[in-house]
Parts: sequence; structure tokens; C-alpha cells
Amino acid sequence: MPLRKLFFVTLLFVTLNGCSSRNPDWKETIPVTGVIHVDGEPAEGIHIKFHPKEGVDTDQTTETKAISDAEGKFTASTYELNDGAPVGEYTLTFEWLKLNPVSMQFGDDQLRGKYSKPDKSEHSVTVASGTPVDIGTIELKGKK
Amino acid sequence: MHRYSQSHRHERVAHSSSCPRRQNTQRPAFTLVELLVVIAIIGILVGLLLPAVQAAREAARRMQCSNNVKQISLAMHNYESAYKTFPLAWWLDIPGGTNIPAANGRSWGISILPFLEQTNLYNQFDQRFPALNELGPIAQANVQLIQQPLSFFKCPSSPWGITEIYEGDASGAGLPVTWNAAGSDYISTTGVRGAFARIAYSGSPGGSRHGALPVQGVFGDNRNGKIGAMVDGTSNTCLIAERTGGPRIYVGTAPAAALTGLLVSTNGGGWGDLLNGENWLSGGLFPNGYDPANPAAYLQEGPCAINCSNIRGRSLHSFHTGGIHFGMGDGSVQFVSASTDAFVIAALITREKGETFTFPQ
Repeated sequence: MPLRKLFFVTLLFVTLNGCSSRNPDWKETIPVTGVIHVDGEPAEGIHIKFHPKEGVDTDQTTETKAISDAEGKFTASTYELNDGAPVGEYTLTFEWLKLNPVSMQFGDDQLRGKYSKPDKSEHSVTVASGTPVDIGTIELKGKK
Repeated sequence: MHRYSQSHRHERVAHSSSCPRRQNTQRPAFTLVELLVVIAIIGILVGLLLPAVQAAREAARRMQCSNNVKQISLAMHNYESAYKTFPLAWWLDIPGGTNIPAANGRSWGISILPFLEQTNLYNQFDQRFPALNELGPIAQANVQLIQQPLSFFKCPSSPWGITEIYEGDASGAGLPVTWNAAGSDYISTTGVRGAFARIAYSGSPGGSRHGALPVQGVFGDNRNGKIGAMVDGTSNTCLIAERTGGPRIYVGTAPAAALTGLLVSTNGGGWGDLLNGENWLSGGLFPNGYDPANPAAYLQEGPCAINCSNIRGRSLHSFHTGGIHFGMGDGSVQFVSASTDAFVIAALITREKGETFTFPQ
């Protein structure tokens, strides 16, 4: 029954395609993952910001960022959760923030702003089309 | 004898003519096949009709919801007529910044009660005290009042029960106060900030990004509640918007139990809850399903402002397909699509940023 098989394959394809509801205007995003350690230990709740090296795109402004989980792992998000970063070169900054549940803003950096300035950052990443990026483990120093 | 038999025959004839079909004529009837065909056709028609009926139900609920938005907007306008200013979205006054037992405060939901025919409820409030559990018996009596379920604060499309009460608690932000409140599906819009403002204004979000209602709270003041303060125009600025869900947190339309546990006490989901007036919008990420493994990730700011989640400060929200209702400064109600450009949504919320935009049709 080759015709029947073809039908089911087509149906599967259509169903899988139907699941992705990405807006056609959005830029292509490439998955970017990594792990954050502070003083050698995985750190939860580190906010990673991706600053584009060529400056903010004023045509189609996006912001890429991530929050590390309990194992220190993070995945970049731009439009949807964990969808990655648009193609480009980025400087990374790190802040260890707490949520103020009344003002709903993050603040109180436990790294005391040491890694929060893009012009002083030693960490960067290049995202190229079609290749998922694994930054690996980033070691930060918390004490002092 | 003859006479008798004749009359007897006559009787029989009369009797048989009263139901003549029983014996000699065939009754016209449907065959089994015809019946089955008719039943099948009716079945198909009902099958076609039922989904349409369900859609009509949601359309009716949405209309009721839009009516609530209209009533609340008009109540705010009537408040403006009476007091020459719009109600404060919320205010909290803590003498000396630390003297919590002497604090007072209110949310817009309480202030407009007399204009929603709830004068009796409003008169029971002791205006010298806020609705907080820690401030003595009168304040606790006020807390009892904000647990009154009010149907015009509930959008019928929203799934929580109108008698649901949740516990609020601001101790996570260093304010040792709690309260209990009945839910609301409508909020005042305070302004836009954070990632959403940067994305909406292409990286340069300078200038005033305040919303229409005045605020006098712990996060900065904006006390001008005159109708003229809506410099962008009353038909280009909204007073209230939908953020449905009340006492529960949803990501898209999926219930997020872990986030409810984390946030419900400060999500401002009640009409008498002070935080219902504190809604600086900083955007969220577009929903692509709910993954309970990492709930904190949904707190990230981002480009999405409608129907991403009902987390306070992250997104506006409804259970209508494709958008939410805004109650505008001119008294109209606008249904704004979730796919509307971030700049237009920000322009609708801000009252004096001076944007030029075309209203989404």
C-alpha cells in the first residue's frame, strides 16, 4: 500500500509543520546554550544579556536574554522561550538578580555589577546561521 | 326480523366507516431505509451546528466581557465628572516610609464602586484604613469587604470561579502585610517600561511612558489625573485593559500551577487588591506551550504584551481568541489583536508620549 503510506507521511508532515506558529516577520533564531558557574558551583538565577556588537537594530528591535536554571544551564530566548538568538556577534553580561514581587522588577545583583557592563565584558559569542551554539561552561567569581 | 338485521348491518357499516383504513386501505408510511436516511441527515446537520453553537457561546461571553469593560470605563468617567480627576490607580501612604501600622491606601476598584451602583458596599469601607490584615480590626473589616464577589469585575470567558478568594502577601518585597481578596479580570494600565518599551520604541524609550490613571505609590508618583493629561488624546489612550485569571496564573491559556504558587500573593488579581493598580508593562515571551520544569523562565521580559501570560507587569491577558479588550479614555471599547505591533500597543497605553500611529482595524 504505497499510496496509503505516502498519505500518512504527508499527514504527519502537515501536522508537524502546523505545530510551529512562528510569526513570518520574526528573524531566524539559532539555539544558544551554556552553563554558568560561580566560584566553581552551578548558579541558579543568573541573568545573561546578549548585547549585539553592531548596536541595537532600530528597524526590527529584538532583545536576547536567558536565565540559568538550578543546574546552571541556560538557553537564549528572543521571541519565544528557548528559541535562541538571531544571527550576529554578541557581548555577554551577567547579573545574579532577585525578583521584587511587588514592583515585578529584577534587582539586587549578587555579583555587585562586576559582570554587568558590556564594554568591560570578556565574554562574547558569535551566532552563525544554521549552527546551534554551545558556549560551554562560563566561570564567574562571586566572592570579593 | 328483517328490520332488525338491516339496522344491525347499518350499525356495522357506520362502525367500519369510522376507521376505514384498518382493514381495506394501506396506510402511507416511511420505510426503515427512509427513516435511517432522514436520521443520518439530521445527525450531520446537528454535527455541523453544534460547533457553531459553541462559537456563539464564546461570542456571547466576549460581548458580556466587553460590556463590563464599558461599564467600568464609564464609571471612571462618572468619577471624573464628580471629582474633576480620574481615580488613583492605587495609592499607598506609609508615614515616614516605615510606619506600617499608620499606613493607608486604596485601589481604583474600590474608588469607583459608587459609580457601579455599589454605594452600599462602598459606604461600609472605613476610609481611614486600607484593606490589610495586620492593621487592626477596622482594616480587617475592610479586608472582609474586598472579598465580596462582584460580577462586573469578572469576564465570563475566564475560567476561575467568582467566589474564589486568594491570599495576598507583600512580605517578599519587605512589606509585612497580607490581605484576602475576590478576583478581578480587569486592571488599570500604569505605563510601559523595560524590554517591552525598548522593543516598542526601537531601542530609545526616552520620555514619559505613563498610562492614563494617576498613581501615588511607592514606585514613583504621577498624580495628574485630569482628563487633559491625556495629551495623546482620549481616543488614543486606554484607561483599563483585561488581565484575566484573577487568583490563578496562566501561560497562554494553560494553567501554570507552579507559577500560581510563586506569584499569586502579589499578582494583583483582585478588584480590592492594591497591586491591581500597579501594572507597569515590561512584556514577556510569546507562549509556545507551558513547560513546568523551569517556571522562573516565564518571568523574563520580552516583546509580547497580549495573551502571553497573566503575570502582572509582563502581559495583558484574556481567554478570547486572538486579543483583548481595552477600555479607552473616550469611553469606547476596542478589541486589540495579540499580533498588533508592540509600538501600537505601547502607544495605546501611554498618555503623553506623542506617538503617531494608525489604530489597528
